[in-house]
Amino acid sequence: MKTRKITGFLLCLALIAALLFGALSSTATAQSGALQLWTKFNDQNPQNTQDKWLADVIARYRAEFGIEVANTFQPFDQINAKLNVAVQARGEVPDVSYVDSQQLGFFEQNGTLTDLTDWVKSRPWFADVDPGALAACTTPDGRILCVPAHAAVHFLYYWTDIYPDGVPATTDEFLAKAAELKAANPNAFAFTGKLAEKISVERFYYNLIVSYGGQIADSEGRAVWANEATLKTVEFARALFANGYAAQESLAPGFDNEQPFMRGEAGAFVAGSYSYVYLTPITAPDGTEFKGEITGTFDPEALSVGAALKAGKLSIAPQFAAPGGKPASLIVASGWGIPVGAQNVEAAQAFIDFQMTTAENVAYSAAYGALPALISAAAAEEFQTPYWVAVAEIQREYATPSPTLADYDKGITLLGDAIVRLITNPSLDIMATLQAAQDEYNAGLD
Amino acid sequence: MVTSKTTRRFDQISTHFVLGLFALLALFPIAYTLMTSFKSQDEVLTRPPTFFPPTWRFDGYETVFNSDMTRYYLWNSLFNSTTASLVVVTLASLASYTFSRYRFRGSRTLELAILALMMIPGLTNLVPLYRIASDLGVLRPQGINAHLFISAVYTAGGLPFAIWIIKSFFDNIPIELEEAALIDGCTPIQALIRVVMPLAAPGLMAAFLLMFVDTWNEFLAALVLLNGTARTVTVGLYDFQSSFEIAYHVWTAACIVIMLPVLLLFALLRKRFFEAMLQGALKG
Amino acid sequence: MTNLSWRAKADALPHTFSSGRNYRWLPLWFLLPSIVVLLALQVYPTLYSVYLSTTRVRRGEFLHVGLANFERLLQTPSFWESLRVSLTYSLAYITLTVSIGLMLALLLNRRFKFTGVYLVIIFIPWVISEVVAGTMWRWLFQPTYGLAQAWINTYLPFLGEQLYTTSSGALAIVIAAAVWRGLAFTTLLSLGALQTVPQEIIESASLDGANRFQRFFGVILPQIRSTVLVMVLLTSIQSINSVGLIFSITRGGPGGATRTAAYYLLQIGWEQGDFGTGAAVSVILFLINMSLTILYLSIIGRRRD
Repeated sequence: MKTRKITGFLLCLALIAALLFGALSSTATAQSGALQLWTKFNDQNPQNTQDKWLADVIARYRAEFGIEVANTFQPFDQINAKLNVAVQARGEVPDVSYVDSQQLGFFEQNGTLTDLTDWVKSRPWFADVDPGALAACTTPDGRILCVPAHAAVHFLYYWTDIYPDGVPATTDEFLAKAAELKAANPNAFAFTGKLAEKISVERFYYNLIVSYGGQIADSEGRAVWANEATLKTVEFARALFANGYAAQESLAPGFDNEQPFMRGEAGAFVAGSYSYVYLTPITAPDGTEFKGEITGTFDPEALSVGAALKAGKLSIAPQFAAPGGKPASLIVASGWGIPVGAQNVEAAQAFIDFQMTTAENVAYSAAYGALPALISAAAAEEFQTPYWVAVAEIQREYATPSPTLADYDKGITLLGDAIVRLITNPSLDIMATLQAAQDEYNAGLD
Repeated sequence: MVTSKTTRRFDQISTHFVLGLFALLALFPIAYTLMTSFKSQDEVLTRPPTFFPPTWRFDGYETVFNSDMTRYYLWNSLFNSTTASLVVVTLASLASYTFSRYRFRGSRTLELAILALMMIPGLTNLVPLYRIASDLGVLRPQGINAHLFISAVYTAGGLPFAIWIIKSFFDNIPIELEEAALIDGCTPIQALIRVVMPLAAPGLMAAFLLMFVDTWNEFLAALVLLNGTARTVTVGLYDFQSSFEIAYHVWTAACIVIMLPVLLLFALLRKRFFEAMLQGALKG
Repeated sequence: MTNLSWRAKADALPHTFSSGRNYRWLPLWFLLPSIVVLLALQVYPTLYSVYLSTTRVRRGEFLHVGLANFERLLQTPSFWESLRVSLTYSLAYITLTVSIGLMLALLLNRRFKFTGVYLVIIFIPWVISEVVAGTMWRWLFQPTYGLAQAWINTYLPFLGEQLYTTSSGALAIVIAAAVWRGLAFTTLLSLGALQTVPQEIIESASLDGANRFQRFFGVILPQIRSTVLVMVLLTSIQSINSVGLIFSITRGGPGGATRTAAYYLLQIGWEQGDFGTGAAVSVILFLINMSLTILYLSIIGRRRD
């Protein structure tokens, strides 16, 4: 009987406590007239520079225009799916949302976003938008579905201890160098990166395929990845794993793949220009530690990567290319979109206008870790550091637009899975496996 | 007798050995998680890995206690699970009492139909439920509506199983007791509350625990139907996992924090729960 | 619902109960709340899902496509592959949880000292969320820093160096984690059933000189047959529908090696936003569950007659 009483008491207590908490937190944040915003940033409990940026921007917007912005934090790998289901359900949708430009095909296929073409073209900032970034937000038939805020490319971070003369420029040379490194230190890896799941296609495989002269989709949105270029890419990836050149974490889900690089066990690491935000603290192969601070001042130099760059321990380079080929790097933009069914379109447009002022665009891009979409913002002092100058050069020289897959997510998932199967099962026939995945994708299109 | 003293001794030892081994296997992942949660980032990432933390640190817990996990998610889960379990047990006892004591045209079919709902994969209903939530306007994280809606969803999800379990307890209570109560002038409702319910209390408690654990652990509906600060512990943990930062000491600390409330409840209710379940619930 | 009657003993009941006006509709009132909740939040969404399975969104347009989603799905290799993974996963899960659960229950039923303690400990994993359990197992087998993987490398190298990132290794980890969590329930149910078997039956069998295995299969198992079948039914449905562990351990990877049909449904019907096809997968899963249930129930029913 005694335990029963205690249990009952505890449960009541729990319920009351939970109710109180719920009531308190709801009265504190409930605003009905507010602009509803969805982002992958958490302004309520800021943990990194991006979160801090959002909290600041909401405060600034309130101070300047007296308008309340209610942000709903959605995890980065759920936000696009959630936005789509919200629109399909035809109920509550946010007024304005963060969107990833790679998902443009997905949004187009599902009719998730409002066509902003005429509005964007009428804006004073239109002439200032970087053409590459704008292209990332434009459908093949010329409709603008989002307003680009930044553009980012993917490249290699590398430790100069391991690659004193830079990372070899081609896949062949890289494998040769990796063999040398492996012989010198069997515990070290030449390379690590996100090489499994759909993101791996955006970060790595697609770039290599393009560099080998191939493509993964045609202009109709159909898959064409069963080609010589993909075959070469798979052979290269197989070599990386068969010989232990790449850390096994590269095939793990999530972001375990960053660890070997951050601990100086892997020499090179493929990532985006924004990745420096997460690479902290880091240790060079010789044991030098770099512990930056996450501040609200958006100074990349203050972060671990900045310190390591300054010390000459860390450097960046374009991803290795096919022998005789040119490196390629997928350009992705993040942007602001207005979902179909948004209640407050004018307020949403005003918010986007505010975001597209030079000062705000600088603040956002610096916090996000990518070059701004506005040309005037890119000229700002913040982006003249050696790191950003190098990033800008890679972006200028090697940027490659997103593949035009009509069912984008399905496509890159199928391709990514096929390549990982080919790596984990070296006896599988490469061409047959790629062809099967391609056929499956194309059969699902109509 | 076939069993001699030595074989009995051998039996005892081998039994304890096997049971002990499985108990160890059951505890090991939890123990390792607990140990990891007291390491620092550097200590987590050492090769070869160690079981015990070299020094006891609370970095992981510090991060967890400063995150939305303890600010919102824990309380949300507590509220949702308590509400849903209490409502499920109440509704299910009424329904299963009826199924246990009354026969009417179609009653058996209705009972089977409710049980058949258990076969529906949880994923099936998510998009339609999202639609309902959207129509009702309960998707915004602010306010209590989102919690009430998901509690209702959990209630619907748990009812069939709860009805099945509780009915088997009612079936075991002799009908004569109620008849006696009725003859003594009780109304049927009084008979239910004063006579049947106390006898079925262990069963109700078992059902409560089953429901609480199930709703506490629920992941998919919470992932789809809840936004922002309205989310629950399981979704919150997944956020830790999917965020770019890799910090196993933080994840494991979060795991421990999430585990504690259910473990506590289990510790309190375990005796009644086992008694009830071992009385032979779920027979056939 | 006019023909209400007190089960079995209607005649013996006092007047007020069986035919009194006030209480005639009592059962209805008792059932109503449950039925309303189930209709609104289970039956209606499911029917809606069936409707969704005949629709598709293409180029922003909502189309009615009849059974085209099912046709396409049945020609999709990934879907068949996911069914195959589901089958492996379910068979392993059912066999291991039911057999080990039975074994543990037999041992616990000997009622030596500490039986209660063992039972409590074995039951603990069950109260832990799938997502939490998944995180723990993922960490145990982390390729470089995971303790279990390190021990395997040292003591059991034949199991493989990188279980987590190989197809069969990842599936084995997911199954092990699921069994670890699911064992509690089968052990408890088996123990409950065993305790209903009179001790004399077990002992008289040993007097006949039956050895342990004969005694178990010949005497004990037939007594608890229906519980075993219920366990098989519950574990089948569990394993077919569950995604939480896979979600938190492997996310269906590497390369789809742990993508069960339920996980496929999550990927296609949620992450990739193809609600029509997702709904079609769920209808197929429901049919599989349903036919399994009917099969098991008919076996139980036949045994009873």
